[in-house]
Amino acid sequence: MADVLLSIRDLSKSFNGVRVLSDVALDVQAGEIHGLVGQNGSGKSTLIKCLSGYHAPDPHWQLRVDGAVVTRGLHPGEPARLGISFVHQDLGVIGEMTVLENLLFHRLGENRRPYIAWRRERREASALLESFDLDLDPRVKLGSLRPVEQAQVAIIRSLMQLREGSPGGGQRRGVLVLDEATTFLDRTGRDSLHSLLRSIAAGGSAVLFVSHDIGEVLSLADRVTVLRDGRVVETANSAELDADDIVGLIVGGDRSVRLDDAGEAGAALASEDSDDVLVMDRDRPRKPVGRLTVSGLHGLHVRDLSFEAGQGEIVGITGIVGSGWEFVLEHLYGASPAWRGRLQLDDQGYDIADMTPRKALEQGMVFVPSERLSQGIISELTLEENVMLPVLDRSFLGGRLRLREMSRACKQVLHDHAVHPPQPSRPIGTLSGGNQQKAVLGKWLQLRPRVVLLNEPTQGVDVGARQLIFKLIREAARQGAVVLYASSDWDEVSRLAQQVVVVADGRVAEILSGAAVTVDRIAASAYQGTRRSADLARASDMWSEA
Amino acid sequence: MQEGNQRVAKTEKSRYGESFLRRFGVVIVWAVVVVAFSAAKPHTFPTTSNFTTLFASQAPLGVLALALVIPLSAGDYDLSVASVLSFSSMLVAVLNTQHGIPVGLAAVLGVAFGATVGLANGLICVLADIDPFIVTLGVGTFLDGLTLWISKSAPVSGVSEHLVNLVVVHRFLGLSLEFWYLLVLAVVVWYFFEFTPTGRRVLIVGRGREVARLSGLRVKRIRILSFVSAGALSGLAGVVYVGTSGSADPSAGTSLLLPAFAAVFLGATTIAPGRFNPWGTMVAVYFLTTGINGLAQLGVSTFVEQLFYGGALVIAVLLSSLVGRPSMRKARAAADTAGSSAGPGGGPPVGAEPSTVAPSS
Repeated sequence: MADVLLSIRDLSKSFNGVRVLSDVALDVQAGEIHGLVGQNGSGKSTLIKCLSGYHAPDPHWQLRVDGAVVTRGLHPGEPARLGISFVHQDLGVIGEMTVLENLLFHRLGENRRPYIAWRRERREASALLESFDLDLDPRVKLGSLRPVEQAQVAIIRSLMQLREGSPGGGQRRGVLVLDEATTFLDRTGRDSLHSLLRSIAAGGSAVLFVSHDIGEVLSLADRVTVLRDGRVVETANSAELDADDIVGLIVGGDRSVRLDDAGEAGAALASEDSDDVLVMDRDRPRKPVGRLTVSGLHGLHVRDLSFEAGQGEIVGITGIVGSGWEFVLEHLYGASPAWRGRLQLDDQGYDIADMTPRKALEQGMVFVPSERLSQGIISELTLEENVMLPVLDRSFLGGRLRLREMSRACKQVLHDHAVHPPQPSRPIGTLSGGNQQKAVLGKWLQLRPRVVLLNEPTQGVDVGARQLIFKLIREAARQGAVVLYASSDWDEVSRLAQQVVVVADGRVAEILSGAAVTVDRIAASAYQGTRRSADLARASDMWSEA
Repeated sequence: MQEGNQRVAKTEKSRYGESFLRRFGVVIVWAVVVVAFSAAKPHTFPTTSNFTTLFASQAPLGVLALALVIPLSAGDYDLSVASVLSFSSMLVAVLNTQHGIPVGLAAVLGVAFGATVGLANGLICVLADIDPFIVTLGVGTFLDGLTLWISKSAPVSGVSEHLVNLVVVHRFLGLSLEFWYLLVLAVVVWYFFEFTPTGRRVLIVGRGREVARLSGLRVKRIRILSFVSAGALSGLAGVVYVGTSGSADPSAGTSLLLPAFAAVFLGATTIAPGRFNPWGTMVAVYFLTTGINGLAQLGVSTFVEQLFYGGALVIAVLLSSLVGRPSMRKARAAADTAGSSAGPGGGPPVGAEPSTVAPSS
């Protein structure tokens, strides 16, 4: 009988009546690396958050860790006592502090001793690092280390937490959860992390490894669990699966059907005067962009990316999380700096490395950022102050802002974009996420932009608002704008876009168009890059074994 | 003043939808304080001469507080304003009395000097991306040293009567002209924030630098210019200060820094709650000085001034944070549901949080 270290039974979780996890059962064995995969929204992160005590699961679940049984939500700190510890994507390390300080700071809350015996701590830390063949000096600042070394420190710290959490104080087995902690590491970095994780597992602990990268999971994990729509659809030995099997399990069978949007929530979208001229600036009407071309875009996470889009077209940009698609639009808009690349709007060419939001706006480009609350809106300011920001000068007549006219114009924009309630004086933060996002769209679409860049515009938005947002986007395209739509939701992308640029490993994996725009095809090419790396990894494993 | 208040009230009520009590709480408390002191000291407190002094004597503080409203709205602290006041007033006094420079020119130089200091603050903070709190603290202390140097550490008196006449001696409707200058300045600042696109943009820059940047605003330029205008207005406050007494004191500013901050933060809880605003600031200035004036008349010792200003600042900040809390909670809840699945938002968190404890409503 296998030695089960962590066992979850009947784990369900609902938010406002919507079930995100249903009766999840999961066993992780001692000495095992267990992969957990699934699409965005499959419930992976909710599962991890239930384990870490961030969310309380619905009643009647059971968690068993090395013999101890819990049936209620976990308190903060409790997972560590039970023997579960986490390394998240952001690693939770502080670059300004030394390796040693980073390794120790979780202890500072405990106050077990009135002073810190630095010399002894350093000796112990060095010994621990050495025992895992890590050549790291505890005295250097963490920020000066390579990303992979920082990740190693984070993992070692979790391991220390596990060991220290044990009541007896001695060595103890535990479960180390890596929550997409390798997403932003390069391949060699990942390889060296893998050997660290393998030696941790060899010591009798278990590793629960959450990742989007199927290739990585297949080459690292002993067993893999696949989540889809909040349920466990499969747990199997990774030797028995190949990447195609997993992609199939992740996406599910019947998703290729293109849902039609006939039954949309019927809000009045005044399609007003649809003259063919696009207006960014009333005094200087602009011609629509006939053809947008991006070529050779390089940045921190993207490499040699090129694609095209035409007038009135909606082009999806997607991939698995961390593959680089998230940054494409930010680069084009100048929101985050690119290294190089060229943007061509008909006969006008621009160096993307020199792009700034201001310049982009002057060319008739608008950008809806993915982080609405920090980049898109200012919650405590009114709808009017948020929405009318780009058109303030229109209301500045005879030396003063015409507040009444501005308020009226704002009301019109809110109405046109189905923002509810359409009250310009309301703080935007008091609206629902969907209405906030419609207001942001209104803020930019009222300019009649030539190019619309949307980064995850439906994040944190309810289903009804989502339909309206789609409608607004289609309307913008119909009026002649080029729409680039970046999203991690393949279902959405496949419904909305006529053409999809799939990014894998920072490069264009494939450009799909027409009938090829389906969730299956997107999934296949998004995971293609990782599949290749899986083959490579297997090949190199074989070499090292030989 | 009254008329101005009513006009603000009318436009603001519809725009912010705040309750009357929240918007006029400080005004009401002020009225209560006036009534209470009048009852306690019927012969000295509610007299024309007391009120005219009360209103006019605080003009330098009022101008200084208005100077602060601008960078605070843009999300930047400026701790050097009081030192600019000291230096500018000393510069005017020294140039006029010891170098025979006409007082008008000296006053212009005082204001210009303030603007220059503001420019230095802005360039250092914005271009080198350093926390304004520490930069302006250093610049202010440096200026204090300069002030002591040019004054040989002693007050300088005997400034031309032209200036004194124009500031305190001449009166309009029974109040010294300096009060009317302050009022005009408050109108200007109010107009700027209410009725100009630039004023709106300053507000956006102060509340959400990243939003501002992505909306194509010239964030750096706006921040630098807000430092420049704070410097120029502080220089002007220095000129008004010399005008009130005909002399300059090297430590003049030191005792005004905290009251100015107290007034601006307390002002942010009233009239347009949740925002640094000129009318709220004016109300707060006079509320604070009324309190001190009354307590002094009751025979309380001079330390009451510090108790009062210090206490008011802390209470103001506390109030605005309590006022802002519900919506903060909501925003955080929204962040919880929205967050999680995103990749890293790319790019450095430019400016990030405004460094002010900007009260949010």
